[in-house]
Amino acid sequence: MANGSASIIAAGTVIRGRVRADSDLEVHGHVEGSIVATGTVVVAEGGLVKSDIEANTVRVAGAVAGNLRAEALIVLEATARVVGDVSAPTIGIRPGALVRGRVATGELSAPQPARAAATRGAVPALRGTAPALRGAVAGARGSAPLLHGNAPLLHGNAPGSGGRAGEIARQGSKPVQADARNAAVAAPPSRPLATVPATPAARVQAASAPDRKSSANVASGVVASPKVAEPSRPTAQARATEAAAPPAKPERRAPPPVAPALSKHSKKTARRSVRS
Amino acid sequence: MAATIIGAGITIEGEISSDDEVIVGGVVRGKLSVGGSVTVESGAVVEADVDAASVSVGGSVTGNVTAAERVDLLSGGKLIGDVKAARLTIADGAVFKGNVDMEV
Repeated sequence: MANGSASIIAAGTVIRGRVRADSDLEVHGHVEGSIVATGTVVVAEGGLVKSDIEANTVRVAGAVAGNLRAEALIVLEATARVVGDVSAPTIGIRPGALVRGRVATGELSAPQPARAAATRGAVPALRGTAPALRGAVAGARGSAPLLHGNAPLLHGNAPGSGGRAGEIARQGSKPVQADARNAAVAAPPSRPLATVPATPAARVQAASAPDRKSSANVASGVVASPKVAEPSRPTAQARATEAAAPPAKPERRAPPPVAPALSKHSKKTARRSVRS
Repeated sequence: MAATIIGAGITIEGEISSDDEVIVGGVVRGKLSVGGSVTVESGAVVEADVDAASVSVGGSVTGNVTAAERVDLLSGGKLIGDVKAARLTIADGAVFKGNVDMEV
């Protein structure tokens, strides 16, 4: 009956342990453990996988709690629910799919080492940014002096976030690159940064970052918008409200599908910035 | 519900439990508890205790087999382990080593 090529874990079947497949695998039931396949793994609607999945191609219409890694392609269908990191050269997420975790594309392609190094380097900077950001948001809510008080912090983090922003910009051309953490963290700090007088320094710093072109673009673009707003709202406090008021701004920079994918790390800050 | 098919290229190390039919064409190590029938195809390797309503062995099974209804050891099949079942058939050309308990 089985033709040897297609393997199906039917609904009502539970596997606890390691699954290795040299062929395609379809999961309608439950798998807990790990799945490593050289072909295509399909987690069908109703299927539940509590394990990492490594395969050439992964299609998810069911639920996965674990990391997904594919050599070629990962597709998350509209009914998919994924809690875990997703990495593949090409990733597709259909509207309606739920993802919580880090999404990385192009990891297996040639420029991987440089990218990986850049990411590693940027992570501490990002961590440093988060508290500063929180402080900056609080400052924006409260009063201008606080905002100024935070200026050095923000500047200190500018190179890190600038480099990060560059990466986002580079990823922007692909369909799903929304790395939530990066987008959320990279976008907001530039707002308070723009209201601080000493911005040019940050711009210079950002421009001197490795991805000169893209980070410069992002930095100058970000800096430009509050500048336009400045003449009509002269007081620092008004500027602070301006920075805090429009929730549309962060949405424009950080694409919407990003929101559910936020990591624990940045969720608080991101929420705060959206709410304010 | 459709049957669970563990194809020729699949290796599972662990526990499989199912309410329905399971067809094994690949390798299973661990434990197999099935509410329906288990078919071990020619070329398949099962190194596990098998508990099912009925078991048909065309491949190789190493482990104890318990079936509520019947166990069929087909020609070319190999079974090493104890069998506990109400009915047991062993075809010509099958290999069997173990005890049989027919719950008389």
